[in-house]
Amino acid sequence: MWTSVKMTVLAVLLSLIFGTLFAILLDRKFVGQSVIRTLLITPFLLMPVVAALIWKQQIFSSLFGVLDKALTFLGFNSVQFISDHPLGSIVTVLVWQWTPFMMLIVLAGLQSQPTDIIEAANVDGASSFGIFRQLTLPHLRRYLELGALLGCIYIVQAFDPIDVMTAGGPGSTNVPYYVYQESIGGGFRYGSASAYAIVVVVFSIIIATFALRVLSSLFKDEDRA
Amino acid sequence: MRRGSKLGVGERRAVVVGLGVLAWVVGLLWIFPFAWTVFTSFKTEQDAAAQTLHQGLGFGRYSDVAHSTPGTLSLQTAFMNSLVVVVVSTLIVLLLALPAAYALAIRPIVKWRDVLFFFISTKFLPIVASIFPIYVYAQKWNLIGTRTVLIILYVAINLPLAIWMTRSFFMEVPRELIEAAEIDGTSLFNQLRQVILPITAPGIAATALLCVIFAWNEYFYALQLNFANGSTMPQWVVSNVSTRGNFLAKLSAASVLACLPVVLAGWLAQKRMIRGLSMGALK
Repeated sequence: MWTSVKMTVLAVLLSLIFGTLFAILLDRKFVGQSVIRTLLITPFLLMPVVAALIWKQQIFSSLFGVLDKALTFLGFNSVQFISDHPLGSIVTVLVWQWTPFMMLIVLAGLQSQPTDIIEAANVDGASSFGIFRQLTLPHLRRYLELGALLGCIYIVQAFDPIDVMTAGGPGSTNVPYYVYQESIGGGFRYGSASAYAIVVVVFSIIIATFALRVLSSLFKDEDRA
Repeated sequence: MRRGSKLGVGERRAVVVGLGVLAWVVGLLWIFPFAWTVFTSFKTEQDAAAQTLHQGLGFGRYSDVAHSTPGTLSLQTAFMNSLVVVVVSTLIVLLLALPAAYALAIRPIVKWRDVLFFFISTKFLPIVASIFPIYVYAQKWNLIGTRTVLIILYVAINLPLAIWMTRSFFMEVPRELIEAAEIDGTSLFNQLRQVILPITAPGIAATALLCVIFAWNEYFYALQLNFANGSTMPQWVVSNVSTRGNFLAKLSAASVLACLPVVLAGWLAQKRMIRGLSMGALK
């Protein structure tokens, strides 16, 4: 249960932070802007299974992982990332895949910001940081909320990376995976599995209530416009 | 509305260049795991396992994964299963979503907002919570291991998204055009075909693409309800992990093959994807 909460909160927060930073970087003109955006969204398009396998075998693996090779090359001891830090490994993959999603949402927010206000602030001699904190951030709030809520809804259900990376090893079994293990994943204790599934539904309803509120507030704005 | 630098006034050139370089560094760093996988897929197994490059690059691993050992899931089977499931489910989704979007956007029915939110609320149910009843019924109706069961489920997964997305595109059709067509006495079907569809075609294409992406990448239902013959691409990729011998290069090749169609499609549709991902709330 706690694993589920930790996994979701960590993954959503980190991908939201990275996503916002990337969106701010992408919102300005520079050479190759569209190339970089294309590269950045790619992880989100990959199959979750493939993303998890890439990280497991290609990066984290202590047999042939790039990270391990780099660490040994620099004189560090090799680390068993997945068995020693199962939660961290899974969160890394989730963040890698979901940052582009957050980035797209925040980018849409940044680009919908009216320019005249910013120009007015500039004329008034406001500092760049001041403009960002007092004008851009409040404007972005709803977009950040939307990203966080949609992210929660999808990430709390994460199954593929857990199945592929640790198969529910210690410290990495979230509620969905536990429900799976209890029922058709081998446990065949349908009663307790169903009970857990109901718990998941209750939590989803709570998150979803907030999500719907944000969505409908965005819609009201659209109607007014 | 696109602007250049938002914090433009008084910003020094060095800062602008520096941030551009930083964006490049971030972008390349973020793509590195996948780029490395593409690179590895061209190596020999020995080079891949040691992360070295002694024996050159080639397409050898791709032909390896395309010719699987008899008795295991082959690329051809998995690809055909995925293709059929994805195409059929996406077509059904569009067939159902277009009339629904019409009724919600162009000629709003009573309580259209409630209907809209009812559709989306189904998206909030975690799939693990639903797998057990679905499994029981699938077994009862002898659907386990068939393409049919996946088609039904993927329609259910994608329909809410598609309705929200097509609705948001339909909202943009100018009212005057529809009214003009009505005054001219154009039939409902012709209105759709001659007025609405041409305007919303790019949006509908983006919707279809998103449905394709989600259906193509889906693993949980495919794993739970399908064995051997009905397996799709994600399961085929996983089947390339072996416990004996080196498999990293082959796995990389399989990963690239499995992701390629969706990655290409996503690159083409990236500008419109945001609307689908945010349930049509953002443009």
